[in-house]
Amino acid sequence: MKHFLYWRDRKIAFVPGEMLAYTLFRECRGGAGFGKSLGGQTQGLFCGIGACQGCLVTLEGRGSVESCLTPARDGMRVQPIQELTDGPSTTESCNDDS
Amino acid sequence: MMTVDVDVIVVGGGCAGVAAACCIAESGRSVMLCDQAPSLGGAIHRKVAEECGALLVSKDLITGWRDLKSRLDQQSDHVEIRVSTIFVGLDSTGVAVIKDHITNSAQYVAPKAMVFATGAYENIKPVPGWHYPGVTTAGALQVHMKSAGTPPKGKVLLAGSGPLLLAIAAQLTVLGNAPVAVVESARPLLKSRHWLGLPLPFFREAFSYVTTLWARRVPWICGADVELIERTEKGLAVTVSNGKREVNYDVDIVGLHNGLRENNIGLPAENLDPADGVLVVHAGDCHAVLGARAASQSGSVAAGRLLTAMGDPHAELSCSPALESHTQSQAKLAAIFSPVRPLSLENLPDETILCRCEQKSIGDLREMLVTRGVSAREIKLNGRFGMGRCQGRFCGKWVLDLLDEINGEPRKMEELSGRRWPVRPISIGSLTGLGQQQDVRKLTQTQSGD
Ligand SMILES: Cc1cc2nc3c(=O)[nH]c(=O)nc-3n(C[C@H](O)[C@H](O)[C@H](O)COP(=O)(O)OP(=O)(O)OC[C@H]3O[C@@H](n4cnc5c(N)ncnc54)[C@H](O)[C@@H]3O)c2cc1C
Ligand code: FES
Repeated sequence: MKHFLYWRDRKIAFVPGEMLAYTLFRECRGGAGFGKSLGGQTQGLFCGIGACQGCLVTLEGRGSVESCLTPARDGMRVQPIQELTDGPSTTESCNDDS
Repeated sequence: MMTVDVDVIVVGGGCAGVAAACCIAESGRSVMLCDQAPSLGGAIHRKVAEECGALLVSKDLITGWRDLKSRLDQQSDHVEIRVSTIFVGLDSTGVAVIKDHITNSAQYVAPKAMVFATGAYENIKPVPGWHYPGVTTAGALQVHMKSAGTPPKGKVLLAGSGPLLLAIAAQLTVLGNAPVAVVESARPLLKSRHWLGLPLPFFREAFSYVTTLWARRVPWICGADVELIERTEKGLAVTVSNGKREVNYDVDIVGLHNGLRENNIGLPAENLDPADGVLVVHAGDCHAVLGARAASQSGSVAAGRLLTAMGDPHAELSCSPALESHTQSQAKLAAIFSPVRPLSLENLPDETILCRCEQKSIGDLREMLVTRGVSAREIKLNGRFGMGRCQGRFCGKWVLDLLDEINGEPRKMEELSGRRWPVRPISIGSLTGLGQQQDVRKLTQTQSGD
């Protein structure tokens, strides 16, 4: 069975047991990274072990988290950090499997 | 504020932290063992996908970890395991703040003592273009293989120096995505004298990596460095040079690695005097990078020192195996992998990004250094180096090196990073709990199955 989560409202597949940063790393190839942060830096996987904060993303209901420390889960909704800081933060559950 | 009492908090659940937790629990004390990752195991034994476990971790290390885990299981009455739990800081009243990564809320614990076993992180030499997405540490690519069971997709170039770079190159090759090249700053094969002095397991491991690369004809280019990474329409264009000749590679991913550094930035300093507050020891690679085979011994040694300071007269003797031989092996490895050209920033162009978090360049720093006598604190507060989210982990060493190179003024890392918490950025909302303050013990019961 394939597993999916939502990145920028698009459905993408992940490998069970992997950290979210690696799902996004496969998805965001070719320079886009994980979107831009407020400081203008392009976010993306760098250290892979929670030391650089380069992989911050916004998880619906949880705010910004290091994606390399966050296991990918079915139905999880993920956005780049800037986009959600612009709007009101949401409190929906991460597990609503729509 | 509700706090929980526990004898000892151990931060970091790699070999060093688990060994320390076992020794302390075996003395009858209560331990809270926390790790920011969703499972114990640290850099080596973190969750490894079944398909590739045996390919990515040596057999002797797997056996050692299994033994440690069963020792830990026997102490389940004394050790509370908290995964996805990040240590944030120890305040002046001796209260430790930890953050639950799942609920994003802070919790407060009052320990008598703390062991920091937060491991190592990779030293990465800045090069023009290292801040582009697609450029990662080589270790991050290894974590990809371990967690997904497959190598990252696309063409990979590995560059930098050290045995771990070689290991990761071989692992990518075995899993079916051999790097287009491995660029090594040193000339390790010319150091036969040092190789001969290495213990057998090291020698065997290195030999297997080199033969894997040779068998698949993966170019291992020694005595060369990456000079420039540029973005193109297709991906990344990398210029490699050995000082005489340049070669170009078009790739999707660049994995950089220049050895390991103690992951101790911002941690409380060691303290073995109860009169000075909470006792603190550092263990494993966080104390000194001695590698995987030394980590559990180092954890036991640290526990021994701590228990002695807590008044256990025999602790140090019962817990203290020698670390001497590991120190010697690491010195030999450092000699084998010493770069042909020194890792200096001197020749890098001004526009090279130095601080990745705040996008500050080497030129910005050089401008500040025109004024002699500028302090590390000024560089931080006015130049914003070391101020960003990574708290100077990736730029700090280079900022201080350049300061020394240009102005001849050696400075200590603490002057730039400070020893003040938080170790990790944390939102005020999480700190105040926003009504989510919880008794830590109640929370663990819902978490420990993760
Ligand atoms: C990316 C990487 C890959 C490596 N791969 C290899 C390899 O393949 N082979 C090899 O021989 N050696 C490898 N090493 C070296 C190896 O890490 C060490 O020699 C060994 O694992 C050290 O054990 P340790 O217990 O000291 O630290 P680690 O095993 O690194 O454990 C440290 C733990 O602390 C946790 N931690 C860190 N900060 C916090 C915090 N603030 N709050 C809570 N928890 C925290 C981490 O999540 C981690 O689990 C690697 C190192 C790195 C950085
Ligand atoms: S990639 Fe560095 S913190 Fe996640």
